[in-house]
Amino acid sequence: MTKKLAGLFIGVAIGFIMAWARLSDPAVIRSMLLLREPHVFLLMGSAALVAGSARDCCERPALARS
Amino acid sequence: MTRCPWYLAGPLLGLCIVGLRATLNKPLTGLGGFIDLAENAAAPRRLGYRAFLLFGFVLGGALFAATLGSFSFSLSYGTAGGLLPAAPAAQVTLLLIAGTLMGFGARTAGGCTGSHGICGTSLGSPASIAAAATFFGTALLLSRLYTLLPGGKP
Repeated sequence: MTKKLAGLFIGVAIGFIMAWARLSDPAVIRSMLLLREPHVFLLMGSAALVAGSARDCCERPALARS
Repeated sequence: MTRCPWYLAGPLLGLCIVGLRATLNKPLTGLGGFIDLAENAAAPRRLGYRAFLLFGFVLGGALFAATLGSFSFSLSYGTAGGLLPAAPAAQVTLLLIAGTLMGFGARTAGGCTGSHGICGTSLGSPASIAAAATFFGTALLLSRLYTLLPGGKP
């Protein structure tokens, strides 16, 4: 149950952020696909960068030990 | 409330992915929640984290709308409604076909735009990078082609 609650809370956070960034608006997605605004590409890129950097930081001590 | 800038929303989403990995050791999944629900409907069992993540997405979006005071139930497709056919039956048919294709594509590719495009690429997965490039390349091309069609919306 704890895992499901954790999933629910993280989902709420993601849903809130996505709605705040207007990713719930189909017109925003269309503007991105027509290359009229870089907002969504930059958002996805920075999200991947942060998640990837955090992974690298967490894994580095483990690599150092091995 | 003004639109959240990408340099804030992107890192916050990235931290949510880190949180998901830290607490559940699971990747971000969007359509996975629908798959969980569909599998549960076919053979009832306990719902997994993916379904709860999906419930969370919906709740989070509703919470944002509630904070703005703009929460309301509607069948409208928002600002993109003008892109759809005028007849409600045609709208529903088109959206069902589009949803089916998205579900089929995500199931075949082993993930959707969010899971491959953000989570998989952040992990440096070659399969995710290839999938995200294919998703976006195809979508960019078809969106541009649609605007060139007779009757296509610019």
